[in-house]
Amino acid sequence: MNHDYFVAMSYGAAAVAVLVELIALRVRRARALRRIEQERELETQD
Amino acid sequence: MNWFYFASPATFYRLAGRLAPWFFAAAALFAAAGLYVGFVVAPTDAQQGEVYRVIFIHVPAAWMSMFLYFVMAVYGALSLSFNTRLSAMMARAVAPTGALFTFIALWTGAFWGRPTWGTYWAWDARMTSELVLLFLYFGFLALASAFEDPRRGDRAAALLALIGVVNLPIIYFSVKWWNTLHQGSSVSFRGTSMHVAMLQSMLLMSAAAWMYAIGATLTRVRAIILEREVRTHWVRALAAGGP
Repeated sequence: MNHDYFVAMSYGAAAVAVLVELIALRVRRARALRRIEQERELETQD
Repeated sequence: MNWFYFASPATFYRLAGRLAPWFFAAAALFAAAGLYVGFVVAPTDAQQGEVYRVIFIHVPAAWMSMFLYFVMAVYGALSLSFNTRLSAMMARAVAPTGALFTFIALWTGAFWGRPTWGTYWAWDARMTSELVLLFLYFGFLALASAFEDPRRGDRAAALLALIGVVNLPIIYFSVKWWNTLHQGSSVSFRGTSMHVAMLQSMLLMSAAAWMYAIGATLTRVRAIILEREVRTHWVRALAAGGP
């Protein structure tokens, strides 16, 4: 029985999961910075 | 050294920003070395053939899933006891990475189980308690975001984290307490029954998992600090031109 599929699926899924987390981290930081920028703009308008 | 100096979100934000890239770099180096030893140096297993190589990702992920839960519960306890903002933020920052490692442990376990046990899933004590751990992480994340006031969410989630700690010894000792499909530990403080190259790869991959988890947690806590401290002067000044 060829086991390459099971090894590839294990490491492949782990790599994808880590990649998704890294992208999520970047998105979250960008969103937080955007919110700060919006708050600053609202303050200057007031 | 005055440790309380680093308990300030403003101070810790900068420290985390300086440290996180180094932890990610170390994770990449350890992972490259671990994969090299695991796939090139380590011999084929006499009984399982090549599929045993799943161990190099499965075991470190399972170790991290339990350890990160413990860390999250400790931060939760600190947050409840001393009402420290940074502890609550750290508990929140650890949770998604802990859930990620739990998912990886379950997923890789399923893909290791199919060729060796003949099934992707069995309601085996170790697997079931690890699945409960994943639900505890999800519960923590859901509870933490369920309140409009984040401090109330922190307290509720910290309480759940502390209650869930009871699951950790259940996971660890499940292979001794019940008759399960899982084998007992191959590695202990007294020695190992593994080939030295297999052990080296597993330890290198564990170091990579540690470094990655610290890097991801530090990166996430920076975002949480920005979200929570959005109305403070230092965050405004930082967004205006800081790093």
